[in-house]
Amino acid sequence: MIFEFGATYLFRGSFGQTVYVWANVIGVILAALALGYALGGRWADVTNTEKPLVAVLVFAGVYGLFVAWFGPAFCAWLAGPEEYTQDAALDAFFSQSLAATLVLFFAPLAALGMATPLMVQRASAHWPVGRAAGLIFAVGTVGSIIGIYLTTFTLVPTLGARATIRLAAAVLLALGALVFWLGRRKAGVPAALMVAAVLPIGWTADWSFLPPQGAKLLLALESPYQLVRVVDRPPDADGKRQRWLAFDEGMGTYHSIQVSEETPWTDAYYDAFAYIPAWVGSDEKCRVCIVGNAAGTMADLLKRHNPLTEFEIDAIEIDPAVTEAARRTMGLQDSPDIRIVHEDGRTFLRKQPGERYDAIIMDAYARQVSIPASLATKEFFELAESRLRPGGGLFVNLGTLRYGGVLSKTIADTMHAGFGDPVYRAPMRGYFNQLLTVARDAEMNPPPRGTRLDVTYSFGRHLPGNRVLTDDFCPIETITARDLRGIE
Amino acid sequence: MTALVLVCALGAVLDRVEEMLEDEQFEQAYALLAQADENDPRFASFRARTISGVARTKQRRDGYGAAIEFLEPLADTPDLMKLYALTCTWAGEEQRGLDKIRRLPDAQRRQYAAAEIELLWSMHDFAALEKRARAIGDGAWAQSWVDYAKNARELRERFDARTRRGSWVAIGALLALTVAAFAFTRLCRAERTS
Repeated sequence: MIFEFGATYLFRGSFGQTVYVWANVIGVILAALALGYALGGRWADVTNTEKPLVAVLVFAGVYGLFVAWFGPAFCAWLAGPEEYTQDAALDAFFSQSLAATLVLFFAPLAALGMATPLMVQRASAHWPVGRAAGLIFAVGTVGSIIGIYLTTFTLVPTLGARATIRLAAAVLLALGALVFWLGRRKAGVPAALMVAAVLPIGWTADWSFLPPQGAKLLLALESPYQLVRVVDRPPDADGKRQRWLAFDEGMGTYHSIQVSEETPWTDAYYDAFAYIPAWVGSDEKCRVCIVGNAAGTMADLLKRHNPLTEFEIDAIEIDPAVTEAARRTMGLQDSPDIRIVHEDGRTFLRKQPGERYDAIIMDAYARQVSIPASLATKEFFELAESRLRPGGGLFVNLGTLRYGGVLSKTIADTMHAGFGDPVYRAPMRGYFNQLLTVARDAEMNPPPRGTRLDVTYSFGRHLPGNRVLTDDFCPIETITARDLRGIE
Repeated sequence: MTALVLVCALGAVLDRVEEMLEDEQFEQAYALLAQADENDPRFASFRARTISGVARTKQRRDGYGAAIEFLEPLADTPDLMKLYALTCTWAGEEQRGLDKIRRLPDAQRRQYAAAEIELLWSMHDFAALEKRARAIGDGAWAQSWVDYAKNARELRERFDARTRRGSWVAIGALLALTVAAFAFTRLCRAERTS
């Protein structure tokens, strides 16, 4: 399980971690285990020594060390040096993650699959075969459960993906050494294996080879949610570098852009949200909830461009590593009018009293490309409506390649189903984003004067259809993939 | 004398239209403008602003579809055609806009190059975009679109090549693993018979 979870954590810097990557990892690893069980069973029938068991454990351990060292470079070679465009990424990452899983993880997992019947064979020398098989499978399954939790909550956040795989490999080598010593009572081979197991300690991970070429990596943090990177982008035509917060493979997308006195606008979709206080008629005092705070670009823009407004901002970010990265490299500072909360957006909103906010801004993304399923359903939009004061507005940033495509229409239909009020869409010309908005128990006002990115001109009413997502039916990743491929 | 009265009346109409446009009373301005003299040199700009405003009002009130319906018969200047094309992209009806432009005679179609490029960009049809931008001419604007589309197409080709490379590596790995598994079973069989 450490290998299985480690694989997805290892891959996310190159191929992301969409359901397609997960499907490849789980599918290939289960196939490897199945083959390993079958071959291991055959081997167990023709041997009565501990040698095969030692061999498969050592093979899996050595291969694991190889994966930890060369795996990321192999993935980077498969993916190439440029950031993928979204419409090309899904197909490419599917084939590349399949290839990487086959090359890097099939052989060691098949070897570990072989270990099970070999262990049963060895254990059956001491117990009846039924009890031996049951015990081995029970221990193996408990080990898998520990592997899942240990990897996700402790190893990857503290050591990183590669060190986690190295640690698993070292444990396998140590196990091989133990089995060898128990069988032969000779110390030479086990000692060599133990040295190989502890060799990688102290080795630190490096993610600077990730795209885009020419970018300067300032910080990389691995969290259970994503690989968080802060990069200074390659210089533009004027020689200026923008500082981006990027997740996983990057894919030409950003999750925050640093704003400052010199560059008060981001020249990205955030700018269209800057005058929300005037938009919802709360110029003097504005209570805002931002779901998906990242490095706080949205909150920063709101405060910077509405200096006379008294704000009370709840900035919700599910991943504490993102906030830490922003504090360390993107100038995120504590402020009395901004409360940063590390929690799931839906859970947080559920705990808030009704009619609390003048505006809720949704800018949350999961695995780079799609809105989290729990934040894209009719039930969620009903919850959001109940937390807005009458006339208050929900503002959603939707990343989509096609302004009038299936994704945009589906989310707009679902917002309409949740609120029961007219939904408006405002594609941002020249960007792959659009702003979707709806007011509680009211018609949403047109964007206030000065709103950037042509939103004033593209602002139009969505004619509701019946593509409604619910908690029971929310294939948001499939819809996003269809949208990226231009399928209605 | 009659001509002078007409000119004064026209001036009054256009002044009133100007006020209405400033107050964003686009539909009323559109009705009033119907009384104005189309030959007046000021008429064209008032007409474009009014039509654009009505389209925007319809878009807000009745949706992008209503704006497209309104604009379709009126899109007879580059500005209005571009507005029509943009509205088509917002509605996800790029093909409809392209069909309208492609039905026009070549000389007229060239006038609406900006609108056509906007539609092709929105459809991510980089091959068609490059081809059309080349056909439009060698001005800096057209050339910049040729370069953009060429880069996007070449990047896409590189990504496709890497997708194929991933597939070939996966196929190669599967073959190698199959051979290894087969060889292993043979070894086990040989071990058992010995």
